[in-house]
Amino acid sequence: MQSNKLLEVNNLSVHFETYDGTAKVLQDVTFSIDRNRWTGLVGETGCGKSVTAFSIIKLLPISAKVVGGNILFKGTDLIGESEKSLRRIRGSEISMIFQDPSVAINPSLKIGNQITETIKIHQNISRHMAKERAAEIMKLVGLKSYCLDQYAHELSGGMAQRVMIGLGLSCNPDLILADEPTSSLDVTVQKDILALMRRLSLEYQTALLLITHDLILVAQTCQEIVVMYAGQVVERGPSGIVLKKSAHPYTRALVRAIPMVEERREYLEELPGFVPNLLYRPAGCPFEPRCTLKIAGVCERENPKEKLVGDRHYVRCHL
Amino acid sequence: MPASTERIVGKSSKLREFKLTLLLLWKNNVSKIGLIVIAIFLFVCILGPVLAPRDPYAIDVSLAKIPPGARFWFGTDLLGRDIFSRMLHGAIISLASGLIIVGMGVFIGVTIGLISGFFHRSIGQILMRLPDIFLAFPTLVLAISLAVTFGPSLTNALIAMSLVYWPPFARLMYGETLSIMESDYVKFAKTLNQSPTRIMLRHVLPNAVSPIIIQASLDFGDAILLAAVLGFLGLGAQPPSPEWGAMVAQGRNYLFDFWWMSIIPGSAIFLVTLAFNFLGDGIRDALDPNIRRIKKAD
Amino acid sequence: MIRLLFKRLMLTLVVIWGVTTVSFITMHVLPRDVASAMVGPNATPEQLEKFRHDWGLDRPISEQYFNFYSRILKGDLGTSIRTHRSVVTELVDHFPATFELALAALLFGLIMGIPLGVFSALHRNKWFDHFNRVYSLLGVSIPNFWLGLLLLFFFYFKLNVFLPGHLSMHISLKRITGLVVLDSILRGNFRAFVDAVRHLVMPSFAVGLAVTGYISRQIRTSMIEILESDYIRAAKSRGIPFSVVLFKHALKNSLIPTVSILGVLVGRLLSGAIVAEVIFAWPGIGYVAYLSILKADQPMILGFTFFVAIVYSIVTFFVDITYGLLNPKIRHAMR
Repeated sequence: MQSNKLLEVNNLSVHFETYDGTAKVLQDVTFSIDRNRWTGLVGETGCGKSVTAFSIIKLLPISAKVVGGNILFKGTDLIGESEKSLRRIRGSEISMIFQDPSVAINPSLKIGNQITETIKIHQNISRHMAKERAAEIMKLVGLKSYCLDQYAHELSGGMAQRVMIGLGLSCNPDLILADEPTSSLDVTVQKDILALMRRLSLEYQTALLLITHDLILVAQTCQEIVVMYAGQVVERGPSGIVLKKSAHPYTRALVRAIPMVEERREYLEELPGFVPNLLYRPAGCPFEPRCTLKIAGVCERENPKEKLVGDRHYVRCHL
Repeated sequence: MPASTERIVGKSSKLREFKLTLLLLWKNNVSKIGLIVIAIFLFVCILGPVLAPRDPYAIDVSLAKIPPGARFWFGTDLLGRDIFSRMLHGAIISLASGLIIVGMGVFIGVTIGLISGFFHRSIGQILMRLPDIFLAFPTLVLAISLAVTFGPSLTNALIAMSLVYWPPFARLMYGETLSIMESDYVKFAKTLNQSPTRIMLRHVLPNAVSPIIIQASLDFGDAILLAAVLGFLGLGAQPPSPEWGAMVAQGRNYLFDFWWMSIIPGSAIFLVTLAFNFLGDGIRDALDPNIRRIKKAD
Repeated sequence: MIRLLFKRLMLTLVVIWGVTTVSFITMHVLPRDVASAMVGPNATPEQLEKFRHDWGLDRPISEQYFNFYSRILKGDLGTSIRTHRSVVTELVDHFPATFELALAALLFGLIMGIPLGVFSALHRNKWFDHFNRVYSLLGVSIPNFWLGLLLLFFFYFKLNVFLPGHLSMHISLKRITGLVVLDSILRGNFRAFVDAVRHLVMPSFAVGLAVTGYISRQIRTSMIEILESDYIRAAKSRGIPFSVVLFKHALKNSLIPTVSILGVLVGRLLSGAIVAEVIFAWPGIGYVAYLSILKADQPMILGFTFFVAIVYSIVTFFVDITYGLLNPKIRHAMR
């Protein structure tokens, strides 16, 4: 029986070496992604979402080091894999969409060139066929085929992001890692791009990891949610449950901070305090200084372990 | 934030930054070597004339063309002068040349850049064409041309070289001035109706100073080298002055038989220039924000 | 695009005007006695008088300036005191040799410098990078003239492998372009070709060493920056093999900023060539300039300076245009 789990991240810990010391950027991160589903990875800036994604395809900067855990993709641990086999996986089985398309596309090569290049790397087809496939992809993402002959800076933000999506889908991967795919776009364009991504992922049965700080987005599109704070997964589970019956104070605060159209609010709720410095991790729960429900004596001393609180619903909290 | 508080806060973090720079310079092997050699050079410049065993100008043809050995460490030249003593005396000429060239260049460049930047809508435009014109000549070519026109002497050569050195500083200062002019405290000073001179000197200048100093330290090695080249071409210090470049020129035609007359002073020029360039490279690295914060994981 | 060209052209013309004015000032205003400076110390009083009359030295400055300008536009830069030939003729005769030297040095710099820069960027902070950094610093710090003397000493005096000068006396080669290596190829003269190369090696190495340093440092810096950019990461994330990423994506983009320093490099090449010509007796304009310095040949020096400045301005102009064409962003913004 084919496992439904496409990707399993287990106890992943990543450290960054900086001039001032070692930053423990990811600590004991565990979650999984199912086939054909959208999983949302949420958290504020700096909580480690992007690092997690880069760890999956092993594109971390030189100063980073994986110190523990494993990443199982279709059963194989990606951490131990050789660069050669990783290169095969990248693009054809797992691909990534970046945040700012205007800098994520090579400015001095034509778009078409970059698409056919990716296709030819992974599929053994002729140049002519690759070009045809590239034209198909353009149509798929809603662009005219003359875009193939253009350069990155000639395209608008929305068009460039469509190109990125096209590049990501060009070899029919099983999983797409989307790092804030709509953050740099106008609101109106965002909708279109998301609709496109949904349509395509359904059509091609691609799983998607949506990395974002926008909880509303995740609520609208993802079946699963993983909430991260300061390099740890604090809550995860089916999105309906996590949002309605949040078990972690942080998640609850995030949900509360969403302005609802129906409610009339006098002010926007804020979370007081700052994210802890990753160089000097406290011994206890990292959210403790900002937590309103903490248990004195326990929360600041011991970092909570993950526990199951519902159907596939996990939380890392002492409560 | 009122201007006075800003400056206090600025000072303490600037001191920390400076100390970090010095530390990085010392840790960097390359710049460490540079610093050591420069220290030796400075020592030679200041104490050289005192420690020199013989009179650098004493001519004694019977002692001419002696190779380096126990008696004359660097040998003697065509006129029997001890090359070692001559070099000890000549060191300070190179150092002084470098200081004057860069100093004058910075002075002229900063002045023109500051005024042009301040009045950038009027005379600044015209004034900044001047560096463009000077920069249309390759460095050495212009220096030679001016030195020849003024007449071969050390002073004239120094003036010529300063005129070659100022344009990049003017441009740098111009850019800095323009960006500082946009800052709040300058606009505030203008609303207070402070006189232009006061604004320029008290507000703009102190804040533009650090990139200028950095650039000057990077250019110092080149300045020494330029002075030596002009000396070699006969345009700098005139005989019998023991300037190193001129010494190389004097021995040039006797390279095959008496190689030490040219090669040894040339090596000294090389080492000193190299040391200053090592230091300059170290400074550039020490100020690189990436290196200040990130280290490679092993 | 046209607007950019026009602006640059205007700037270049202004600069050239400035150059001529500076030359005018140095020739006619600064010297104490212009006539004897221009005619020479051995001139007879009649020659001096004639010169003063011809050049209108007793007329007001503005008229002198006008005369000066019209002479320049006619292509008359005066007569060399040393050789009694027209300055322009001397310069045109000797320029191809300088061009050949500068070109060879530039090629040397590119062929050595680009691979060194790429390697250093890839192996940052490892021994190769440190070695390259020291090597570049060495190249930039080494006094041209001293290096030249060393090369002469070892390769000529001791080993007799490479030779100073242009071409050996016993080789006969009819001149076509003035670039000896090229001419020998064009004439199919193999012996001349070998001889020409033997003469070219030392001076081009002496000048090219510094250039290698600049180029490799520049390539290294831009490569490092580019290798950390998002689009390189994106390319890697699509599984593109590293060699392709390196050459097709990274190198192409890092060559563009290198073009922008080409202008400065040409200036250094010219300066370096002058010194090298003096050491190796290479008959280019630098060598002529040196002889002119020795003989106080004022018209020649000034003509030389003027000529070099004009050439340099033109080269810089073309370099800027090329940079504008290569950089796709600028190219697009011009549409």
